[in-house]
Amino acid sequence: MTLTKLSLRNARNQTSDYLVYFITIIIAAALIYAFNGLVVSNEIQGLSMTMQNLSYIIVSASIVVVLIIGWLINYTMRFMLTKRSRELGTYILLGIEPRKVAQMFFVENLAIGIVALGIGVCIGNLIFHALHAAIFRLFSTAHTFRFSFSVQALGLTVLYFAVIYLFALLKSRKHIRKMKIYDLIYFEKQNESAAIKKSKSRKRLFTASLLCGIIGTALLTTLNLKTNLIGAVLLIFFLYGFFMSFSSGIPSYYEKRPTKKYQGHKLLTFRTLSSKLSTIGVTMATIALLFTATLVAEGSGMVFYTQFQRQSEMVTSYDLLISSRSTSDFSRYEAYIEEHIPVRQSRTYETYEGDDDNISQHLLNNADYWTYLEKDTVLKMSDYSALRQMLGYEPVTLHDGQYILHCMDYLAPALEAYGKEVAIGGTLLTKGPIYTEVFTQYTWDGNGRGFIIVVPDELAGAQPVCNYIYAAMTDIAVSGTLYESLIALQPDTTDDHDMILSKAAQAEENASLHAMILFPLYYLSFVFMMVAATILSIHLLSDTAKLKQQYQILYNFGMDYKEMKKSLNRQFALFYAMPTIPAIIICITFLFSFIKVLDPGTIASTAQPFFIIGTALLLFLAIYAVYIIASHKSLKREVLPQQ
Amino acid sequence: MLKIENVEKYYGSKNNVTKALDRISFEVQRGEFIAIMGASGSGKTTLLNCIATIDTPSAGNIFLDGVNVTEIAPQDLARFRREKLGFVFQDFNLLDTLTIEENIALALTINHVDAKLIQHRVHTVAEQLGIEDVLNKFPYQVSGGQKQRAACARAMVHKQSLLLADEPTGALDSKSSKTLLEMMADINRRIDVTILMVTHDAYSASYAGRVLFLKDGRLFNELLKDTQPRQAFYHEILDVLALLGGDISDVN
Repeated sequence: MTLTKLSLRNARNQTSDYLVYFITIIIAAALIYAFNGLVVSNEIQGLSMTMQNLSYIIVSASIVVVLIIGWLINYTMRFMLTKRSRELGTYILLGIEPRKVAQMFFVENLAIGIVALGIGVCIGNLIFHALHAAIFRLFSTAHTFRFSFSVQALGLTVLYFAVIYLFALLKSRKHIRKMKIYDLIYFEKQNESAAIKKSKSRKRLFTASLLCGIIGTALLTTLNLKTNLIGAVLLIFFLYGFFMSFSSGIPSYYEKRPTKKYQGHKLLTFRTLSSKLSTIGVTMATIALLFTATLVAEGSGMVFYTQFQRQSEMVTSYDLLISSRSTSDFSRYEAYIEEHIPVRQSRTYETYEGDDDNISQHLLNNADYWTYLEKDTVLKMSDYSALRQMLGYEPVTLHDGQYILHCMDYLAPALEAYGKEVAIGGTLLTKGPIYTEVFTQYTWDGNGRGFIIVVPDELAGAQPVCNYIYAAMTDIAVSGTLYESLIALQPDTTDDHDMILSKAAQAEENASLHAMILFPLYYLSFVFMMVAATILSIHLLSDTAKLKQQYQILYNFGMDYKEMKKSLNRQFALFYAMPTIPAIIICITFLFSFIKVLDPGTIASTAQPFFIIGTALLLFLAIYAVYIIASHKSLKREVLPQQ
Repeated sequence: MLKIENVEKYYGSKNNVTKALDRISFEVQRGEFIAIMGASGSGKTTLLNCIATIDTPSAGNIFLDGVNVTEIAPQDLARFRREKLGFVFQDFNLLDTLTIEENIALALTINHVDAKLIQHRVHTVAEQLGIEDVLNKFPYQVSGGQKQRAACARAMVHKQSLLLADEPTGALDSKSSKTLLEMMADINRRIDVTILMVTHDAYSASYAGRVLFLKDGRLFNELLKDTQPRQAFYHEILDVLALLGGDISDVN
């Protein structure tokens, strides 16, 4: 049997031993290929001007992915090396040169990599088509499914994998060459030792890391780039310090409290956990860090998504809006519109300044609100009725001596509480009903900033004009070249340019942002999550033999099956919970403060932040659960003695 | 206290039956130190496993303290084992994540002994076996002999009725073996611990008060030490082994 054959046979055995790892490499290859597909797709690039940036963003994300996957492959190879050191030592003992053994080991891993890459690319092509369709849907562009295979994307994917494996090859070769036969054969007998042994320095490190954790989390909530960066560095220190000292810390805690130690089956749980943590404290910290990054990326994605959704709803209710502060003459636009854009209905009208800014002041004091307007904004009832009809809203009536408030939905509660009269040209009006349909009130160029006061025509008409507005509902989407041509028609003055808002253009911009921010964020978070969960699972599953022996001993001593099951479950749960708890705490704190910087009104209710964070956590836990369930099943089957 | 009655154990399918134990019967009195000898494959470990309730005999009865262990319901077996039996294995079977003290204490925590009493009881046994100074060490930090003494301590800390030892000296050097065996004989004498030891080593067996010989699953012979010195008993055992022939002849 040639050595290559032996390598390939070993590779096949390894695949079943490290199934989780193998599947992760497949999914990673699939994702890398799919996103590379987007990078090289001309169709995607052509969707909008900004979409060209997508390539740069995805390539940057891919570099991070390559680093992380590289770490996983490298870590797993080193891990396999130690677990199989006796076998490798035997090869050397039999007279095979270390160089050849290193080569064999590499060929094995390369074979696993190539098979994973092959399967991954096939799956990746499907994912690519799904992403492709999703992006076209985002842009509301017709998309016909056409099966294709991108050689360029494949080339890029192979290049990434080649870099990863070349690096891993060099590292494992160095490792094997440096090892002596004795070390290889007796590697298993080397014992676990705590990373930090001295009790004093351990306590100091533990306290320091906790402090760093608290300060770091607090700094993360400041939402200032500089302090955030310092916060992130402190949090990294916290995670490493915490896991390195915590693992050595538990034994010393129990040593002082023997009675506590011997209660129930704490003894087994804490000892197994602490011995595990003392060897993989650093790995555990890295996993916690990856989990934190995953959760922050997923959560931020959700926050951005909420913002985009809100924005595309709120910015304008009309298909097209042109607003000017200085002139009612829209003829330059109208000529173009008449020629190129079929208009269903349009209206030219004005908004006016009120006598004062009482309502704005009320909102500034009682709601999350901002404005640049010096006076409250007023609209004629006739214009209001016509615009409502144009937008397909129910008709409303204005009673004598009253005013109507039309505002953004989130401001309604604050305005309900406002009971004062409003003076328009000296005439006092009492408060009438409040309406909250979407009404182009997101910025100050439309129908007031956040709200508008609707009053009888004769009162409003006597006031100074605030904005001249042309609003239209069109039969086609005003986006792409149509929108850009309209923008190009703006007068060349710097201080007084018109505002042109188009529902379709806004949707397109949101779609681009969506694709450019959300897709890479989820790409990264998915890879982080998988890599971290894989390493955890590999560690646990590789301990199966040890755990099995442990539980066999306990079985012989007459430990109840139920208790063994409970004890194993507890060990298992703690192992998987350890790195997630700090990650969840950091992420929740960060996201709550991140949500605060969203535009006012984006968060519609107090429940929404919980919903956003809840969804992010759920998504995380759902993927995590797959890994947990898979390893739990195999662990329980393998470890617990037959009843 | 222990009564083995016509115990049989078969392995294999209908057409190819291997008899591991063939109508074995004997009794062990409380406070006895009994050794079971035989070549590999003679059925001695199978017999031990049947007594230990880890394996079930195909026929026959095993009584321990008047209870027929072959009739204990499966759900009660664990409880029976942890209350009545102590185990010492060739490869120590100490949990390497636990200190020596914790390994011994394990037998008590499994038996739900009050946590406050555990440390005291562990220290008492450790003192009897001369390992109190290694209690805080991990198994990998102590010698094989100390490990095996810790295993003995674990097997008797809960005052189990019967200590079952399977080749306890198998992984020890001759000096450690001697110390361990002397200690076992000592606790047998002083604390009245009943010991049933399986071994293929005549030297080890010579420390017991009685030796049973197994060959191909059958009880072949029985030797009593009585008042004769250990050396003489050792030679007597060797003589029986010579009669037994086969692969035991190369032992010692």
